[in-house]
Amino acid sequence: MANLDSLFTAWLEGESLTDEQITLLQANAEYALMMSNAIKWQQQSREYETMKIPHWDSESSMPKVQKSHLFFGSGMWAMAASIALCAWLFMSNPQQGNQQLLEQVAKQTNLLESQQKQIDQLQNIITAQNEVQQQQMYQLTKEAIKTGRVERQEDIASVLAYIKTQRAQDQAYLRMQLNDLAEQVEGGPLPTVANNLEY
Amino acid sequence: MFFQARETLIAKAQQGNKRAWLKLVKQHETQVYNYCLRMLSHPDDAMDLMQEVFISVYKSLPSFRGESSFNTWLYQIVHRRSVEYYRRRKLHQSLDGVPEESCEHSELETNQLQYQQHHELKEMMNNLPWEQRLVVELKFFQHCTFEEIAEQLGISTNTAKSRLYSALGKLKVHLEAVDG
Repeated sequence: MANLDSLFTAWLEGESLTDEQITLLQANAEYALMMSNAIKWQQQSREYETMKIPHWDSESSMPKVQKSHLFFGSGMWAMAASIALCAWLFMSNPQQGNQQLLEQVAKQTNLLESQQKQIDQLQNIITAQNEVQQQQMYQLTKEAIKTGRVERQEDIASVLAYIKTQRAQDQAYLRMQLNDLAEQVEGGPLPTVANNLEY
Repeated sequence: MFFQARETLIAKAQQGNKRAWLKLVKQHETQVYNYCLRMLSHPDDAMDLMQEVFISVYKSLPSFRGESSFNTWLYQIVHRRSVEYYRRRKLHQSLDGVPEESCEHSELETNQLQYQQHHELKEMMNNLPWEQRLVVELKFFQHCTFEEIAEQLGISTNTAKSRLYSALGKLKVHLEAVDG
């Protein structure tokens, strides 16, 4: 068996076997089947026609991450340029540079103040809105509870009215029955009445 | 000089030369695509996997030292990516349940015989578990020895052999079932 295994492996590796060795392999049912299946795969491989690759953007195989350490990002360039400009302004004419910087700072401060005011106003509006919303929610909830309570009371009242009507009808029916009985007793033969009197 | 040695191309691509990289891709794309197509049986999946493979190769290119051949190194990446792709794909849906490729993606229908051959191969491949599929691909389509298969897949030669034997046994069962 081990011999057959090494023969089969050698055959799979493409070594040429003698007719006798091939007969030996084919005499064994298991190896004969594996050989025939391997031949099917080899045939598939021989007959395989290479598929033409669909059009694709081969540049997409170069992710941009790789480039990032070679070049600065655009933000970095902008920052570097502005620092360089400020430095150049300051170095070329310190007085003028200072003046310009002060003006710039003043402008920025004004801008910040107006932005802060706007933020505060927005905050106030939001707070007011929140309060209104909370009140509305409270009213809505109260209304819902009240409506529920009224509905329940109405339901109970209608049930009670129904029970009362039913009871009145039952009583009327019983009265009628009693009257019938009374009439029967009054109109009945005397011995029966006498018999009843014995009790 | 129109033709450059592969080593030169690799060296240039490692230095960030875009042209060299694109040439390298051009040299290997058909092989890789057909490998992906045989393994996944679906043109769109094969295309996705091929792109993932080349992105991965591009990222790993600086670490290629030439200790093994470029092809061996490339196919090691292809195997790794394909296993990852297969697992990811399997999470979403069974590959066997993938719909047939649509006409617009496939040129197979232009040749009925070619279509039948590919269809038969697809059936045979889909019948195998992924590990056995890999060994069959390497043995019969890449013509690797058992030692090379073992090296590429990071397994022992005995495991490679037993996987191939199982695959051949599976084919028997499958063909018997098909023949009735």
